[in-house]
Amino acid sequence: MRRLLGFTLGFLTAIGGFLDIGDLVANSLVGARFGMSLAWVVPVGVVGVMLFSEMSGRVAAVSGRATFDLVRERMGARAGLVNLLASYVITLLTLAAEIGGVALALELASSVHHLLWVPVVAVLVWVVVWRLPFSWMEQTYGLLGLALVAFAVALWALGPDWGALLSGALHPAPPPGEAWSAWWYYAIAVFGAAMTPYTVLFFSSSGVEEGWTARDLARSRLNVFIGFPLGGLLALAIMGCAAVLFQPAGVRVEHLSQVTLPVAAALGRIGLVVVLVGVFAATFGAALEAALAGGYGVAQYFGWAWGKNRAPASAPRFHAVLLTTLLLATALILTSLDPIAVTEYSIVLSAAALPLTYLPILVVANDRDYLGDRVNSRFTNILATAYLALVLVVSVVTIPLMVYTKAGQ
Amino acid sequence: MTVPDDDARPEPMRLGFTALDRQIYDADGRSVGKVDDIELSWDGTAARPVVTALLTGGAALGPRIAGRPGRLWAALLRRLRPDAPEPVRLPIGGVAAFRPAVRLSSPAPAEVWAVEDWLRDHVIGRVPGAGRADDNGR
Repeated sequence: MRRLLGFTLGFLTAIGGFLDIGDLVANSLVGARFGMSLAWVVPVGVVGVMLFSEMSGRVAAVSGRATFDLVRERMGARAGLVNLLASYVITLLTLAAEIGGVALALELASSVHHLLWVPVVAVLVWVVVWRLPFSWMEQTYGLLGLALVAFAVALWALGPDWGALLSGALHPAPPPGEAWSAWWYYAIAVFGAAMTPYTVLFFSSSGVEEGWTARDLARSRLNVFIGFPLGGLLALAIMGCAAVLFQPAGVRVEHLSQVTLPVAAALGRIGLVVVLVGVFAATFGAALEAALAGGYGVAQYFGWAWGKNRAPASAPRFHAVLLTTLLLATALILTSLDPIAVTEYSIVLSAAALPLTYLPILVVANDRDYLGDRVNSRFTNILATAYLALVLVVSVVTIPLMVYTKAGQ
Repeated sequence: MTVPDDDARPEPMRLGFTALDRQIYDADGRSVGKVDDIELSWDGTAARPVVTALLTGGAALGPRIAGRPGRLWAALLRRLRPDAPEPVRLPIGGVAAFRPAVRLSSPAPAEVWAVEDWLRDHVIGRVPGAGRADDNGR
């Protein structure tokens, strides 16, 4: 019974933890502009993030070390540093976007301008990282994030023409009046939102923090293999809601209130309250993960003591980096940049930097020095290599496409 | 490049692979840092240079990173610490194991913890609750 409970908790947490501000914004925006024609990107992204999360979870469980702890050993000081810098900048941008997302959710609930909420959110994030035990932190925000199921309920309550949605999903081409270039640009956005690097960085370090051993491997695999696809279904529901409500009206999603509007329209005030709780929890949980991921990455590159579980006084450099990261991200959002725009840039740029995260994982997951006979199977390697090729193509075309489409205008 | 183990020499020890950039733990299990560089000494009489110490710390890492990133790193470090810091030496005799991570047979020298101690004493340690660890909820 306890095992069943633990297992249920695990994959429910994974569902809530899968979604963040990037998924909310990208899927809603894409649904409103392109209907369901980009729905195929979601499963492609989910399979990718499952594949690489499983690998990094396995590395953590078998070797007892986080994946990025091993990156420098495998790739050398210079390549490791370039990797660290790129993933740190992306994580910082993501953190800023998540903090903005939490603040926007609070604005929707309170009508107080989101910039006033930003410092409050930053302090809250820091207090949670400083004090709340690790597993509590993950479970609280993961489970609260399940409130985003409201999107699925709302889609059902909107009573859409399911056949039309399905046929939209089966015809991957831009709707009339939209250019192929913009369509591909947003395909990259949805892909980047599903495969955000900080998720994997955080996942592998949290495995070490929670002291996974080879025995925990089956459980962590199930969490990933059940939780992430269900999270992907919620992402599709968000896209569907926007496709049903906004696409026929030609409305473009430019604010978080529009992301949640379909739920309010279908389920009324109660629905709006539930979905706001979900948005708050998902973005807040992601802010925690991104802040920790920043600290993990730097501390692991330099070989410092790190970990949320230990007393902060025994890992002062890790906590100093974490605090600095949080302050930088807060400062970025306080410049009054539009949080939705920051989100869009963060997911597209993280798509461009994906190979930097995923290549080292694939290399380490094949190293018998660390994994013994738990290295990748041939099947995993074939699939992962295919994804790596895909991610390389994405990374090469992203920036030119961004310039050409003027960031999807 | 080989470790001086002349008569036996079962297989060459590839320093770049076995030692460089590995995590270092001291005898107390604390994370000391990474092997940022390796000190080779040659007194002119021996047949070949001998590995005498592992170097760690920012001052050892900078010169190893070639090109612009390395120059930037070195310049940044000069600004922060104008008194031309020396890297921390960990004599090779005190190394108990190289793989999977470098383990020292004694606690690390105090200068390794300079930044960590300063941050603990002046910033992190001053915040309430800094001394309390999570029970990890299990």
